[in-house]
Amino acid sequence: MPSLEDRVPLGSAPLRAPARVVEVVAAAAPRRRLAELGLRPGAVVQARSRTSGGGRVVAVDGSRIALDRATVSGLIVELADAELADVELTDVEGSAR
Amino acid sequence: MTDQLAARTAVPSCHSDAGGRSAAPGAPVVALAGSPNVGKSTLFNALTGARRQMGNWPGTSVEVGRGSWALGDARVPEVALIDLPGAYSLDPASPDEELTRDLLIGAPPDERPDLVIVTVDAAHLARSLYLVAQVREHALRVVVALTMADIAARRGIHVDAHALGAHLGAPAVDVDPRHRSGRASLGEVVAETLHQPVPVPRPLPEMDLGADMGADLDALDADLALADSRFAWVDEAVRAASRTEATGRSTWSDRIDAVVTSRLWGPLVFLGAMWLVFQVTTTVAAPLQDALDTLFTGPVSEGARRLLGLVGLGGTPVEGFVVNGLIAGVGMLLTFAPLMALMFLLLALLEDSGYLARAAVVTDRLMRSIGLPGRAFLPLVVGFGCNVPAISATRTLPNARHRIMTALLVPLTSCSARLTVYVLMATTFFPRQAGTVVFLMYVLSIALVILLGLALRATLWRRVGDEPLILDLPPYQRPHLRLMADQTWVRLRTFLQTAGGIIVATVTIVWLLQATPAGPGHGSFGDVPAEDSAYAATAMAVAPVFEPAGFGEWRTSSALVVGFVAKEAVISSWAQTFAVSEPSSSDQPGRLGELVRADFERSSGGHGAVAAVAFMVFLLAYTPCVATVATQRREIGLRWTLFGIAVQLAMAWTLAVLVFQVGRVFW
Ligand SMILES: Nc1nc2c(ncn2[C@@H]2O[C@H](COP(=O)(O)OP(=O)(O)O)[C@@H](O)[C@H]2O)c(=O)[nH]1
Repeated sequence: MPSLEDRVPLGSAPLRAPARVVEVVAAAAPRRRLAELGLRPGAVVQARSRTSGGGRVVAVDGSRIALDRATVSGLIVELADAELADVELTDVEGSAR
Repeated sequence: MTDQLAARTAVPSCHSDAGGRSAAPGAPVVALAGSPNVGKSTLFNALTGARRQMGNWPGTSVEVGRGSWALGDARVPEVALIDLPGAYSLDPASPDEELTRDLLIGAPPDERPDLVIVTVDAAHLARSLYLVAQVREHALRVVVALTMADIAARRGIHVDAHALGAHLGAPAVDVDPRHRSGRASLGEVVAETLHQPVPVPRPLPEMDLGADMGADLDALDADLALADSRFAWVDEAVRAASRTEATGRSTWSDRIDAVVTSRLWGPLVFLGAMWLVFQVTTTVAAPLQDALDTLFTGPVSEGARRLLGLVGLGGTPVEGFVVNGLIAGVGMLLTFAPLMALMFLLLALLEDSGYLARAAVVTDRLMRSIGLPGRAFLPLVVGFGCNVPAISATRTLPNARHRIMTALLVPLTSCSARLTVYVLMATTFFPRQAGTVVFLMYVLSIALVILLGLALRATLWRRVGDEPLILDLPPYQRPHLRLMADQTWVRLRTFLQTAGGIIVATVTIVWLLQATPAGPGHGSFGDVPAEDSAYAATAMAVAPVFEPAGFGEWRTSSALVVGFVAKEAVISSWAQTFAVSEPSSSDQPGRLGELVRADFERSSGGHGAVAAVAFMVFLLAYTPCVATVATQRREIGLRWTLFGIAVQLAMAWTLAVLVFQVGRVFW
């Protein structure tokens, strides 16, 4: 059971570290859009790269979603332990596209 | 045969609403739905044979396409197919999605489509099935078309269409819209399903709605619970129907993303890409243009003259109209076809490869600083091709203020019709740096968009709400040659058709005004010196307005007046007025530039080049064309449109005067 300290906004999580979404802090409409794109509590995600606006390109369920800085800091994640990393990384990343 | 007919008649132009050969009356209505980027438009084209604009951009499917699809089934020979705007769900976040919801479930049951094909992306199954979950909650016949199996396979995902269909309670069929395979089996299943009764809607989970306190909160909670139950249903279906095997991870597309969206490289790559596009459209297109120009001003005009001479019309107003009007005007338009084709091909390349979506990420912050979301970049980019579809594309913005603001900014994006004038001016006045000068016009165009955006935000919309950037980046793809050629051809044809119609109308009016004497004693109809015509009188009345900007000559002011109708007409207007006053000019290619140059030198008191720059700036900033105005009126209403025109004229004039007055001190 991860402690509370392990919960960070995705924007502060290291790049490429697999993480599990625990909470989505956003207004109703964007939160729904995020959920439709697979970014909802329980999803395993990964920040892939920084964008020019200070946001992130986030990998989830094989796709890449570009998010701005504010949105990415509203995605509260817990950093996965090594075990999760092994099991689910393929899932998150997808591969050759 | 039917396909060809549909292809010819079912192309929505950029100026008119989606049309299409409607199916026989009484034919069942089938709606095509799906999230953005799942291959829905490509499927629509494959099924109907109709060609319409396609793109690799979330929310491209703004228009509703219609067509007829021959199923090849004895009982149901054909159906009317409606291509609904892309929607992730039936909870609308934009007018497009609203339309999709209204068409699917807004109408009373007997007016709803007879069947809905939901296009589902096999590579992103979970995400595309949410819409299916919602559609299945209503009394609708549903068939699932499963696309992108190739991409899924590359990622080690295998979807069993049969198992998926069983779980969804709606048959699922594999299709590959790009290679037009799976059409027949989809047709069979659709025909079969149309013969079945409407299925029972999927029951919604019992929601325990607390009676009293906080009705709003309860509604929100219920909403969330409902969404959760749908997600759970979707997850089950995914688990039941798909199998993922581990594959070697290749992350080259991530590496590309890390570069092209990064803080440092992103903007540089973006500018570089844009610069390349314009180098190609100026330096590669130029020789082709010259060749066509020679053809039209030489042999074609000559042939027409000889022909008219044979039937006894030589030297009459008819000859003037045909040679100096139609051939000079429409011919001039045609000489720019290669330029347009290249431009559209490059745009298609950017869209299809997936880069354009990355460009929206790069520009997000910039857009945000002028109060617009990164998504507003789409209409602005499209604006560089043609302002008219760009203004229609503002519909993808969920917020009405963003829509109005973007629609007011689009006319400042320098469309390709303006490019034709820049090229003429730049090659005439700055033959050595033509490419750079044209490029700088685009930089200025972007700067003006930002400045007007900031000004609007500071005055009219101080509190434009910030919309978060949530942009699905489509996978990079090697552009499909046939699709790209299709798209380029459709755009080129649309350009020629719409611009051609406007040109012919303009040329007719201009020629009529030219043939009419300004008053008694100035000659007779059809035989009047250019300077004494009604047209010259009108233009001369306008000309003094442009004196402070260095181009207060009647030929140029008249070109600007017809430029209000269409920018393509600026050059043809010059060609026409110079041809009228200097009969030899249409025989000699390249003369037009020289004549314009002499005109500018005269009107600017020797500062021709500075006046040319001022002229280009004016041309960039003032109202692009009547078609744009018409589209604006439709999208944002007459009042905002008129406001826009006033701002454009004031801004264009002020900037041009500023450029000339400051420039001539130094040059
Ligand atoms: N690899 C692959 N690409 C596809 C397939 N179907 C469509 N595409 C491409 O996916 C992109 C988006 O398709 P489009 O029809 O514009 O999507 P829409 O937004 O759903 O209308 C285009 O570049 C298509 O060429 C498919 O089955 N496989």
